[in-house]
Parts: sequence; C-alpha cells; structure tokens
Amino acid sequence: MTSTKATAIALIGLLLSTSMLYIAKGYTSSNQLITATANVLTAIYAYFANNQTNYYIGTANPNAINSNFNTNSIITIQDRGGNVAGNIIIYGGNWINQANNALQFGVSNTIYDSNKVLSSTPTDTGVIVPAPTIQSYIKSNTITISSVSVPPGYPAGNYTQQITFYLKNYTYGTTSNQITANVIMYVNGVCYLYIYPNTISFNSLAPGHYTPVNSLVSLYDNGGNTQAQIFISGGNWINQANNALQFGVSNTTYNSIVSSYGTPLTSTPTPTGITLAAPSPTNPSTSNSIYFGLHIPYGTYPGYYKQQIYLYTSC
Amino acid sequence: MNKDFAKLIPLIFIIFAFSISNAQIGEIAGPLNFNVTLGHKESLNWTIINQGNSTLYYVASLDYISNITNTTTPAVSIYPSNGYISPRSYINIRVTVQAPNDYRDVGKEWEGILIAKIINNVTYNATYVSIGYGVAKQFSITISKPQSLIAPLVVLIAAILIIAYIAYMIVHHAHKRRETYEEERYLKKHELRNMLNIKEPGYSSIKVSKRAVKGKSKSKRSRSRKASKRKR
Repeated sequence: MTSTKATAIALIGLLLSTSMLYIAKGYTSSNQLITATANVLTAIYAYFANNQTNYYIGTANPNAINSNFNTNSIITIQDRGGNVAGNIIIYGGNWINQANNALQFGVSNTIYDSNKVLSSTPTDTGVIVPAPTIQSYIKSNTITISSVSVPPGYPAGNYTQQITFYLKNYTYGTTSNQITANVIMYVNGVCYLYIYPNTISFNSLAPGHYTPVNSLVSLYDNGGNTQAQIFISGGNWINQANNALQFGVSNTTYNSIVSSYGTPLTSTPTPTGITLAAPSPTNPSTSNSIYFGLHIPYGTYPGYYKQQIYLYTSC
Repeated sequence: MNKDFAKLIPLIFIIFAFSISNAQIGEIAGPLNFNVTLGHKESLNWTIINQGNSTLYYVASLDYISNITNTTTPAVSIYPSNGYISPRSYINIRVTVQAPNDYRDVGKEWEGILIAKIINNVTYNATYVSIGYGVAKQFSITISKPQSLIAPLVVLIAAILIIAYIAYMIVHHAHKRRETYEEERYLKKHELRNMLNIKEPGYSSIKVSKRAVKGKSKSKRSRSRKASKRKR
C-alpha cells in the first residue's frame, strides 16, 4: 500500500468518527440556530449645535436691563445618539469682567426663556430634548438668554458668564454629560445725566438787580461708567405775556461754586468745565453742582419772564 | 470681590433702577470719527438712552462745525432728527457725513458737536429758568483722497502680460514638442526604410528632413560612383 492510499484511508476514518460523535451527541447536521441577546441601555449624549462653546450675544449698557441680543443668545442643546428624552438642566456662574476677574456681578442677573432666573444650582428648565431614534439620531431644543441686567457702575468691557447644561430623564434616571457655554457680552461705556431741580425761580427782581450765582442745580450720573463733560446753552429771557419782549441770554451767569459773578450763558452749547466722574460698582452714583445767577437789565419791561437752559452730558 | 457684596448687587441694582423717578438720559461713550473719501458718504450711529420711566421726545441737531477757510464744509445730516424714546430703551440716530468733492479738502479735518434736547414744557408763573437736559456728541471729519486708479491699472496690465507670456510659452512649447516628435518619427521611419532597403517616398511636410534625405541619397550615389570608378 502506498503512503497516499494510507493517508486517504486515515482521513476517511477521521471524518466518519467525527460524524458518529456528532450524532451521538444529538446534533443534526443541518439548520443550526444561534440565539443572540443584548440589553441596550438608556443613554443621553449632550452637545451644543456645531460644537459651539463661545456665544457672543452683543452689547449691553450699565444700570439697564439689556435684551436686544443677537442670535447667539439662542443656545441649541442636542442629544446626539442617545435613546431617551431629556429635560434640559441649567446652572451658571457670575458674570466676570475679562480684564479684571475680581469685577463680577451675579448669576441671577441673567434671565432665560423670557422669565426664568438663572441660578448657580442646577435647575430644570422645563425644556425637553426628544429621544433620538435610529432614523433621526440627533434631537435638539433651545434655551434663549432673554435679558441681562448690568448693575450700575460696572466698567466697559467684555464680560463672560459660564452656563452649564445637561439632560436628565426622570423615568430612567439617566443623566447626560455636562456641557458648558461661555456667554460673552460687551458692556458699553455710558454716561447718564439726571438733573434736579428742573426749574429755578428768581422771584421778583427790580431792573438793574444782580442775583448772586447761588441757585443750585445738581447733576447726577446714576449708574453710568464713564466720565462726562457738561455742556450748557440757553435762550433769551422772554416775557410770558408778550414774547416779543426779551432780554439777552448772557444776563444769566453760571459757575461750579457759589460766587458773586459767573460765566455769562451763551446760546450755543459750551463746555462748562464741570465734569461728572465715572461711577463704579462701589460708588454707583456720582454728582456735581452748577449754580446760576441773574442780572435784570435796566429798562426791562415789567412782567413774568422765562428762560430755557439746557444741560448736556457728553462722553 | 466680597461674595456677600456680589449677592447684594442685584438688589442694589433693582433699588437703583426704580429710585430714578425722574428721567435720566445718557449716551454711549466715544466720539464719532468720520473718515470719508472725497465725494463719498459715511454714516455712524449715535446712541441715546432713556433711563427714565416715561417716554421722552427729543430733537437732535448739528450744533456746531468748525470752519476752515477756502474749503467746502462737509454736509452733516441726522436721521431721525426728532422722535420718541420709549422708557428704559434707546435709539440709534444715524449721522451721515457727505464729503465735498474738491481735492483742496483732502487731509482737512473738521470738528463739531451734535446735540439732542429733551423737550418738556413746564409752566410756572414767575421769573424762572426752565432747566432742560440732553446729550451732546463730539465728532470729527477727516477727508481722505480716493484710492489711486493708476496702481490697480499697472497691476492689471502686468497680470495681462504675464498671462499672455505664459500662454505663449505653453503654445510655443507644444509646437516645439510636436516638431521634434515629427522629426524623430521621420528619422526613425527613414532609418527603418534604409535598413529594409525600401525606396524613400517623398516626405514634403518637413523641409529640413527632406534636405537631410537628399543629402543622404547623394552620398549614396557618390558612393556608387566611387565604386564604379574603382572597378574601372
């Protein structure tokens, strides 16, 4: 017997013995069934749309509730590839001045979705991101920053607030990863002017009389953040019964202090040399004073006269 | 900053916001700097803020612009020049400067002031001063010359020349390659014919090659003449 024949016989023998073994163990030679099982867990995967993390929402004024923000104030939260719906949970930090981190104002100055106050503790927004499916595996919803109140005196510059979001499904107790947005807002340099009182009466005066420069008008900047110059202008004194009867604007004088004489008023706005200092967070209102005096020219027709003076802030 | 103080800030703000019973007006800081090209226009916004609780009526105007001798003063227009500002709101007034169209004005700088008055009527039977308030905005106008047309023209001509040169080089190179290819092909063909001793057909398309062929055939004839002489 050749070696080839011997090998063939050995192989046949091996095959026969294997099949006998299978039959003995109860296996059939066709229609084998394998049952696979898997338990798909619940999951939520939170992302910002386009993976955007910096949101420049626009400009704001100090001592004002600012709401005219750009489209970056609408923050889109996505669930990419999860399988259950999730409520958007939100919390934030203080607004921080980028140039000076010690200058901060509170998280609660941010209002989102019209009337909800942002807090430093996680809060359910009530906004739900639906469950993604195999056909549509990205689902999203939005949170809008509606307004930011910038407190008085906060200096001009960029301010950043970090707002963190995550998604939570209460039924399954599933929580997503946390994602944080840097919301950036530029606070304008602003000067304000508030005056008190808005009338001065010189009472009854005889022609040729000089009233000392001592009628006070107080000037205030309540909550601005920039130093301002004060300009002044005025009109002629006009008889209230007969507007044709007038005497000159320059008969009114002004000064920053009480004095006998002051600078004659002019009809064109003129710098007074009086400034209103820039308010600050610790000193949110600044003030200054301007005093007025009056001379009645000889021969002035008797009666009630009035004059209009304008004080302007400029910064 | 002290954390306790930071917590109080919103409260301070609310107290402040509501304590201003009378109107407070303001503006955004910074001058309006117009840099206008000769004969052109430029517009900038002037923002006026009403911080009070009541609507304000304003009237805006150009108060002053400097006068420079032997120049045409730029035209300044304001829109809207009057109107209402809602409580706790602001308006943007569009200030437009039309530069003169006179080359003598290039580099000149004007300065001026815009004012916006808040109009309120107070009636009071005495000799009195009514104190009004408003905002003033300083501005400057600088006239710059229009961009020279010569420089872009030179660049354009240079670009055209470069493109034309590149196009010429491409065509020339292609032509040269074709000529070389034809010549090589002819020479190969010719050599092959010589090797196989096939009679040369006329090949009129390449003159230089034809001459070369004639020269070669002449030398063949001279060689045969020399051979016959040797026989004789």
